[in-house]
Amino acid sequence: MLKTLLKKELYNLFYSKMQNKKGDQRRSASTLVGYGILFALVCIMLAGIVFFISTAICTALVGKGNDWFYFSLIALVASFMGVVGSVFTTYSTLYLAKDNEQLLAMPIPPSKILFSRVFSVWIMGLLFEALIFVPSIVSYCLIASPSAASVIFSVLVMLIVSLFVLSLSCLFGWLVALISTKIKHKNIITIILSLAFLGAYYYLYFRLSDIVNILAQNSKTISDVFKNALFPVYYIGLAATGDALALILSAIVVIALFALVYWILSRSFIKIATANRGNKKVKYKKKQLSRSSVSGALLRKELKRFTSSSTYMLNCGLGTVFMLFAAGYLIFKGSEFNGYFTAVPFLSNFKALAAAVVVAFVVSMNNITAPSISLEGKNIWILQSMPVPAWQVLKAKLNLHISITTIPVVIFVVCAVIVLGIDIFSAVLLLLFSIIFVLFTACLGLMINLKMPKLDAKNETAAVKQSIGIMLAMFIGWVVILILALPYLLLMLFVSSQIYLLCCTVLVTAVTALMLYWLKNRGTRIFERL
Amino acid sequence: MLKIEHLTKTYGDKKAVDDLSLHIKPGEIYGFIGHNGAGKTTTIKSCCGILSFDGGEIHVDSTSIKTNPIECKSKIAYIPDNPDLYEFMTGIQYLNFVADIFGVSAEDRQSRIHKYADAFEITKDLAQPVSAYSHGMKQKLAIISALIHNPKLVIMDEPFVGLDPKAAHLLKGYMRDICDNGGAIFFSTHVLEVAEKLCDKVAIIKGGKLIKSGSMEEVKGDDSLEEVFLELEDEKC
Repeated sequence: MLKTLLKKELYNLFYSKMQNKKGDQRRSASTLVGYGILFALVCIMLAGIVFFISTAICTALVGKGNDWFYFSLIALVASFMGVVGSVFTTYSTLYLAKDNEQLLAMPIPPSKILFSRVFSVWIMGLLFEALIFVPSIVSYCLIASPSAASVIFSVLVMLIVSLFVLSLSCLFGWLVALISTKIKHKNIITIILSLAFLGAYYYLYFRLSDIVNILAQNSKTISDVFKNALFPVYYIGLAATGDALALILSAIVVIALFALVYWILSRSFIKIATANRGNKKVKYKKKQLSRSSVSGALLRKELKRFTSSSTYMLNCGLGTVFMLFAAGYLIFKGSEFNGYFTAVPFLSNFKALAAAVVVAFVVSMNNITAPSISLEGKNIWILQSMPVPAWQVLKAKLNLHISITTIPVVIFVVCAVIVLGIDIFSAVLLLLFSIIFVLFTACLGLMINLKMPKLDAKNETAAVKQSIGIMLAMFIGWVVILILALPYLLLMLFVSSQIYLLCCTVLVTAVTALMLYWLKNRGTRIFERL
Repeated sequence: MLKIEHLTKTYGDKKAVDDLSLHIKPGEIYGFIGHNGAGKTTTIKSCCGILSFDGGEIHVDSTSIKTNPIECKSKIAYIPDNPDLYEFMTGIQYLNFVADIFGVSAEDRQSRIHKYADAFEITKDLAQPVSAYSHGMKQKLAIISALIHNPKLVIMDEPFVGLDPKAAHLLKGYMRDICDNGGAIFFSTHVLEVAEKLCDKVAIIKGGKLIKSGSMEEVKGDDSLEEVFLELEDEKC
């Protein structure tokens, strides 16, 4: 029975990705290979970033005999990332699965259902954790040349840490479930917490070299703190370097912690999984209802969907936040940039071009249209049965993306023009390019989602988080930036940056026009047949 | 009001609907019965313009759904077998959204929403998100959203599933009202007693083919609809 449940969870995690949009047919081999390549590329890219960071830290620590300290840090980072990144997924996987009640009605002990859910969380966590641990172990192998036993121990530590991450994730997921009925404005709190986490992440990332220096200079003091005050982390680090006793001790502690958490979860699983999570009941009072146009109603519907889901906002609208942050950064640190441009007069020709690259890069991070078709899910009959042309539906999705992305883009461009002192002609070109690029990304996301919709997603989180279209839209956007920007390195001596930006604007406009044509014709037909 | 001519729809190699023809006139309540997988939902979805079809033609009030789907859809109200509505909206937001799409005036939507919501006893719940609604409440909301634009043709897939007896009784009354005002109803059901009492005409479908249709008297004669249905099912096996 447990084997069947575990198989079902694995099917949900992996095999369901091989199904087509409605889950009734297997995807073609070429599509699967395409997905595989894309997935591998994303993993390689993320692992590459971790490898770069871990190599810097490893070089600073291992030379001084602080091998354990290196692994302690890696374990801490992996735990932090794993727990913060998986709390809400854990909560929804454990308690909000659509088949919870169906399974509970079957002659299956609830503990086995819970175990299968926990297993699913563990697999997901292990995959994320491996992205940090594996490149870190590779760095260690290259720098410290450890023995084979030591490498095996470090892999075992990765498994122990994954169990630790699972325990904490489950505990936090359980707490979130307990308080979720009492929290008002859950979306806002989730977004603020997530943005705070992201802020901390980027702060640490940009201060990496300072941190490595501090670690290198004060490794003795910091490692003493770990040995005394954070001794479980010390033992984890020690275990990874090949200390068998530390490995056994760490394993015992983590397994005991997991057993305790599992016991807590199993005591309340049925109660929480079947709880009515309705918000506080608000009684409707009859009032005058306002009327709006069809386009207005469709746009409002899209906006309502966007703002009602923290997952959707965080995964697809971060570019808006980053754009505003970049505008603020320009205002406060603009003098530094101007300093560079003044020091190297040749560079001052590239101000508008540099700003355009920044805008395009950040705009590519907004992928509001990319899951917008998948999010229709089982509701798609509503739009399909209404007297609304499919193009109007698609336009509403494009308009939401444009509305949410264009305003911060304009703010950034205005800041860039004022702070960097960009001339009028370049400023107009920059603004034009930026707005066209917003439309380009909106069309790109929608095209990808029309070609690869996932209408059978278990829930909104799955439609957004497990949508490869979001990643694809972002990476294609970045590749386009490279394709546009790199030739200028060869042409800069012959073509002015203004002319180059004009050419880029014309090119992006032409491609966007083609995409709009595709959406209006082929795209609408695809939507009608979904 | 609804004319289905030689409708054919295939999924891969399987013919879900095979050369089906029906004519639903204004003022008629037309029942559509058949076992699971017979092709009822496929036919209904084709009539609503949700599914494209491979052969035949469907006219709504003399307008082809193939060539002018938007005009057809503006005259139709569709209630699916499973009321999957926008869970991120409140009940009133959903109804207002539907009213906006169908261009219902502010006064009309106001009076109709409150009239039907009061009748189905969900007025106090309209400020709740749809996600908090029970299946029956969602079904009631779907019915109200279908009625607020005063449709000429109402197409329903198993409309009585999940409704409490009072709501089911109300819905039957509204179905009759629509027909009395020149509209038409085409609905599928497995509840043969309801079909027998409510429908002016009935069609029985099996394996995608229409096996019998006509007025209730023509189809069932002196027997019950249930007896005739079961007999026909056995005969054609």
